[in-house]
Amino acid sequence: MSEVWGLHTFPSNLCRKLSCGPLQVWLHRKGDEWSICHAYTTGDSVFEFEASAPPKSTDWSRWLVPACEAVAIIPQLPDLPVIVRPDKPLFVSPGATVQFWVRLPIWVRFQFGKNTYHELPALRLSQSWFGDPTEGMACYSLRTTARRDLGSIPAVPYRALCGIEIQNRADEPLDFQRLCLSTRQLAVFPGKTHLETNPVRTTHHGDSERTFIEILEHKPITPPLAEAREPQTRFSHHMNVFRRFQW
Amino acid sequence: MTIAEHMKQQAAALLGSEWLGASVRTLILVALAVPIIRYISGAAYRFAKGRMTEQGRMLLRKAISYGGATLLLALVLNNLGFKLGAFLGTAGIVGVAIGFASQTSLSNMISGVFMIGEKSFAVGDLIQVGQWTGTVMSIDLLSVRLRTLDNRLVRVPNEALLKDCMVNITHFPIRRWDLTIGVAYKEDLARVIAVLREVADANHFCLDEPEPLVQFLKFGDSACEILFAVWFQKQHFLDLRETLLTEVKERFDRDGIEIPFPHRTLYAGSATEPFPVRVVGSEGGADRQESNLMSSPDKS
Repeated sequence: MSEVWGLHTFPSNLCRKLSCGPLQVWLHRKGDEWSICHAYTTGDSVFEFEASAPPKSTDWSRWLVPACEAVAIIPQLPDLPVIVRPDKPLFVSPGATVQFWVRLPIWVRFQFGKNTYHELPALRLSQSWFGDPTEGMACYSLRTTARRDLGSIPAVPYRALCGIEIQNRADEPLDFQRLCLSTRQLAVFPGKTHLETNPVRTTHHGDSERTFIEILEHKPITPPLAEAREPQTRFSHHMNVFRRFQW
Repeated sequence: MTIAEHMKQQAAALLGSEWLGASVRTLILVALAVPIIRYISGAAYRFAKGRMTEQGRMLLRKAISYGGATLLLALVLNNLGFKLGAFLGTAGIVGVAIGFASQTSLSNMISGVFMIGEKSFAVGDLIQVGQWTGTVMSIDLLSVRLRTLDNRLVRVPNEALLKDCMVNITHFPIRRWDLTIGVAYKEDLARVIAVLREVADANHFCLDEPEPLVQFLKFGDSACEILFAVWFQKQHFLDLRETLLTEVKERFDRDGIEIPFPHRTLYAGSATEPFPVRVVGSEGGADRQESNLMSSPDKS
């Protein structure tokens, strides 16, 4: 896994293919012009970045980046919040705390130099909406579910493991059917065999109250592979991220 | 006195008059004030970027322009020797007359003020007024300007907007697209509904939540009609329309689900067989045969 993420020197007139889950990306360099072409397969593929013949597709994106002979391949988290559902609906008693694990699909960023980059999702996620029809926010909907047993979630290189601790500080049981998780303040860290993010602690204070979200420190403390999309604020309040809206 | 000497005398009188001096001062005043007013209104418009809505910025610019023009007019009149007090007094009387004559314009102006306060639409929104659908380009004193989807300019008086129903298509962030799809009576409706849910699930522009609504609507004349309603973000409507209908058709073709043409079956009555109709021949007289219609047997 560590062989793919990071900086890769790229001689001119070379084409290499990144296979990352369903995502396949061809990268070609000719002088100061970089070209990227991608496709999605139906099944999983190996995780590698190898020399390859360019595909016959003409749907290439071209980037002109002078004096750039290397590309950095960086894992990023989704650019929108994700809706996470437990594998089975669960009621969390007042005062109780429960730990869930979810593997978040990553975006692959190809960075050319300092300010030029192109991102592609390793998995194409379905769009969703969190909120009322009059007000809310666009999200992605995860097909995989959050589970309490970490061992039951298979590790794959194109997903980052995120631990979610849910505390119910309300007087009523929390009906946990879904959680809107913002990923913009989470960084991506290298784990032993897979990617990981900062753990998150969410504190529920009641259906009509905001949710208190705390981004915890990643353990062990290591430099991240990719910084968060937004500067991390350790504590933040959001609208009730557990709320079920009536359409 | 010759004509030349007479003209010399007139010119000398003119050059020495106060009126000429005032005119020159007025011209200088106008020449300086107009660019200054334009610069200030433009600077205020740029300064307000990010701090106000587009509509607010336009109003600010117009308020500065009109206010500056009014002030300039007063200065010009004062410079030319007109007594503003008497002028305003006269204007009051004239104003009443003008008011009666310009009722429509005044109504439009007042309607515009109410509309702006109501905030039912803003610059950039796609609205439908009567027969016209277009993007709001500006909300002016007397009218609202729309740019239609085929790039025509429509000017809608504010009074008409206030009186009639107006539909703001892009006011809310998400919308629902309702499709009625007819399938043949012989189809298994549960299977069709399941197929439509799968199509919506696979389409990237259909939102997972709110969930698509797929319901059997009614027994139509030629088909069973199913409501297929999907939610989408307002900026993805064209992408959705381009992909979803095609995906439904392809999936129906693949699964053998028939979308029937409108058709009629002729019956003489519930107790009789249908009329057999034989369509014969093609163009050409020698091969043409009479169509053969058999009536129901006489029961008496």
